[in-house]
Amino acid sequence: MLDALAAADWGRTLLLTDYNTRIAVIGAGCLGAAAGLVGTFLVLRRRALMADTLGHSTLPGVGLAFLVLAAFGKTPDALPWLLLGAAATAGLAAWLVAATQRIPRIREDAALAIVLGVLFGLGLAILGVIQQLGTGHAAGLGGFIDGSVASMRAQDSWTMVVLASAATLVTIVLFKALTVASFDPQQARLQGLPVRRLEFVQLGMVVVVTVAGIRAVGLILIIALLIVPPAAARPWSNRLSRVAVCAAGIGAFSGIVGAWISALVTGLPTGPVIVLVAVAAFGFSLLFGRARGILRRRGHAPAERLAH
Amino acid sequence: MHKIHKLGLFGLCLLTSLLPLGCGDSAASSSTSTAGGKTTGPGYRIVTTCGMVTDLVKQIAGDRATVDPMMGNDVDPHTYNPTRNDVASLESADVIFYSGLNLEARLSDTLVRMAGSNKRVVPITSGIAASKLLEPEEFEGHYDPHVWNDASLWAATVSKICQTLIAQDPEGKAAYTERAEKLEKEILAIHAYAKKVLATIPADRRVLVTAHDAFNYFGRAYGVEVHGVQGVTTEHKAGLAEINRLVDMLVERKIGAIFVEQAFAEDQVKAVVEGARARGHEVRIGGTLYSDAMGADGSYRGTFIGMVDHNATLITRALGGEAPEKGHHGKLTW
Amino acid sequence: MAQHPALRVQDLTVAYGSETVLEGATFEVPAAQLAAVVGPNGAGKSTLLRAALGLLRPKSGARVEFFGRPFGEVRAKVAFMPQREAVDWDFPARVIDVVLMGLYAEIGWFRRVRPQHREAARAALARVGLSDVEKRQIGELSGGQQKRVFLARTIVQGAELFLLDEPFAGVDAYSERIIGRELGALRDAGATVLVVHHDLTAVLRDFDYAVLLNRRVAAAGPVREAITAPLVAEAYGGVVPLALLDQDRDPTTDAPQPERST
Repeated sequence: MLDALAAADWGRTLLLTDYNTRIAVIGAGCLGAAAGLVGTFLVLRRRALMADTLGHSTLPGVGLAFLVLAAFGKTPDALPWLLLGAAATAGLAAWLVAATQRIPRIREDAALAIVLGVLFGLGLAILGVIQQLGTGHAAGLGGFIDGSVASMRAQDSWTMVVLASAATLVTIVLFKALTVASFDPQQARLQGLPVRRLEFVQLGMVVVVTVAGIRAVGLILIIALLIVPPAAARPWSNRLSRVAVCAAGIGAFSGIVGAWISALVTGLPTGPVIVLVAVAAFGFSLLFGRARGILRRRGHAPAERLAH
Repeated sequence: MHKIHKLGLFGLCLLTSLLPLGCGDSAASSSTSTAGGKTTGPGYRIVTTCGMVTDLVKQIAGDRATVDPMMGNDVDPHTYNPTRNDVASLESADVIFYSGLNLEARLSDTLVRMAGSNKRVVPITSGIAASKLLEPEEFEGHYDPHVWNDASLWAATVSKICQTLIAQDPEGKAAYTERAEKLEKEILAIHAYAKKVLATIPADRRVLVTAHDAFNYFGRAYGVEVHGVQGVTTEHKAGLAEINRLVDMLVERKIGAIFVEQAFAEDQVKAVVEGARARGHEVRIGGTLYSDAMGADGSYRGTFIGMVDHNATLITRALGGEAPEKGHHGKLTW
Repeated sequence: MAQHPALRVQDLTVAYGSETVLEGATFEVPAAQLAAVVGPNGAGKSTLLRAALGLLRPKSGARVEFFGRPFGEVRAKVAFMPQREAVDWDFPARVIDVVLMGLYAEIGWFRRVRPQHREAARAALARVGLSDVEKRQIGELSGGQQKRVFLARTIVQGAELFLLDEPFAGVDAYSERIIGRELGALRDAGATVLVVHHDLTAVLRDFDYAVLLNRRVAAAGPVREAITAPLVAEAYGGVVPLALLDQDRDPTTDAPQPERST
């Protein structure tokens, strides 16, 4: 393992000389940025667990798509189709959560947990069936649970770039609407905003990021990439626009550094490393954040006592 | 936890290989002692694990026993989890054959438990001399389980299966022995064919790069240098570091083709191809090899001989050697 | 506009599950009045405001008109101030940002905030005495200051009808004075203000108009017609708040007049 850290490797990796490293770093960076941006509003709406449920719910979609492809005799690991399946069941999950909540006495957390359990369980069952069938190429499916950027190809990386751009664009265009809808949904409705449709767009972005991310970090850890960078960004500013930019930055940083580290050290899986980098950034921010870091917190007493 | 299972299974391999199950007369006496009043003879039930084992056992057992394979021919044994039905099937079996060397990693527990009961539970690789087994560095004291990729080693398991069947069913001795000898000859013939055609690949191009490290025995037996994109099991994905190193090698040594495997997603191999292309070196995907699982049930590639024929012919032709397009038996269609 | 009341509510019924919290509420609030909704705890005061605005779903048959029109047609003329609990005060927003949110509909959802909008927000903050904390995170303020931030966000919308849910609840005396003064100023400028209030004395002293509520509307009208000892006794279940015991005296003579703004 130590020989993997030879000086030559360091230089090559940091300078992105290797094509595969470059692909992985660009892809993971863009994914992190998109996840940070989309996750910011998710965290502000206190819907972090929604991301967890959506992430786990992609598994049955991947499995079903695999089965359908195999039934039609196609190479069953055609990625776009698997991701389409993933998006379909994640969408189904979002709908199921809303539907379950309508049952009296079932609160949101319970609804999320129920849907997560049902769909993830279904996914595992489908994977079991696939393995019995022996349709071939099934060993790749495990990669959707753990994720792997090492085998990312140019098309995957471009997907991430497009995704990050789309998330940025949508966030910029809808920034004011999303802000009000997150801060004070009643006010948003009174001002004539289609709050439900905004929520739909928002969940849609979460689904898209999740689906794109299961490839790189896996469907279990994608929640961390959506939630940790915004949490790490919060201590740096009290302004939403800056928190969002900062979350995107921390997400991108985690993706890039995580991919770098796993490129340098043999045997380190990329997804978990990316998440660990994000968590380290979170710890640092919590202590040193400019606006609300524990060590840097400005000594404001409540202004009331100062003024009056 | 996992380690303990591995050790347990290893111990089991040793134990079963030490049991007095010699071929011939001594086996007949041992069968009366171990069968413990169970009915022996035609009509007994054998359960096998993966396709490579099933194929051999079926051919030797012929019509004297029912053979119930647990996995389809094309199922990857590394990651196979037994179902409830599988366990029930194992419990009601008279003889259980599996490959061993921890190939059926997730069956370890179940097989250990079965071995405790009054039935013959035999890892057929215990018929291979330990000195011939490979112990890859990263596998920490465990043997590489992919022995069948050296057909001559797999041929050695034939007598192990034969001995076990004779012990179970002494009356079938003549039939078993005859079929086993015929099968062994066929396997050695395809081994010789593979050796011959692979030797026609120009020496500097005799490098086999595959999705995972399943071809170490193959490399040793047929004089080919082998590299896997990822390690020995199908479970661990390669990291970026491995991918980069492999790309380096492909480019530096101008290797023309690499191979995907039947049980594997193709993305890692394709990533390597792209990486080489980005450095101006075009690598072809030479085709799909059968490394851990065979072709579909009922096809030529779904037999052990067909599997070896396919792999040898495909590799030879992709790397610039000379082999008949339709393989040794003229049964390969592409 | 003069022919229509600022708010007309007809047969508004709201139930949470099987519990009816508001039953057949029917009343009007004439324009340019400082009006209060009063009643005991659980009388449905907040529910009334939120249901009138469509934030809660009333039972069918209800009719609510703002200046004679349905809410959707006169959104910009109506501003609402919720209770403090309606939002997360840890939200990454500064005082000025929250006030600016009141202007978003006017600015346009896809347009930039311009300096004149910032000026308008600062002016509103100055009116409620919060100029010196405009860059503070909202969670750093006291409860009274937070109410005033909300008030500034409401004022900046330039509405003609202001609906405020408990603007005086749990605030310090200084904030109470400022909020009272600004509501009076809005009324003086011609706007209608409807406030959920729990202090009958203050209502009798400072307000023009009252709606007395206890799941049903017990009375609605000029403050001294709506808040009389018998009506209040009925609404409050026989317990007449002390302040009303000397109802015969004109409460405005010995209490300070509502401050008229300049």
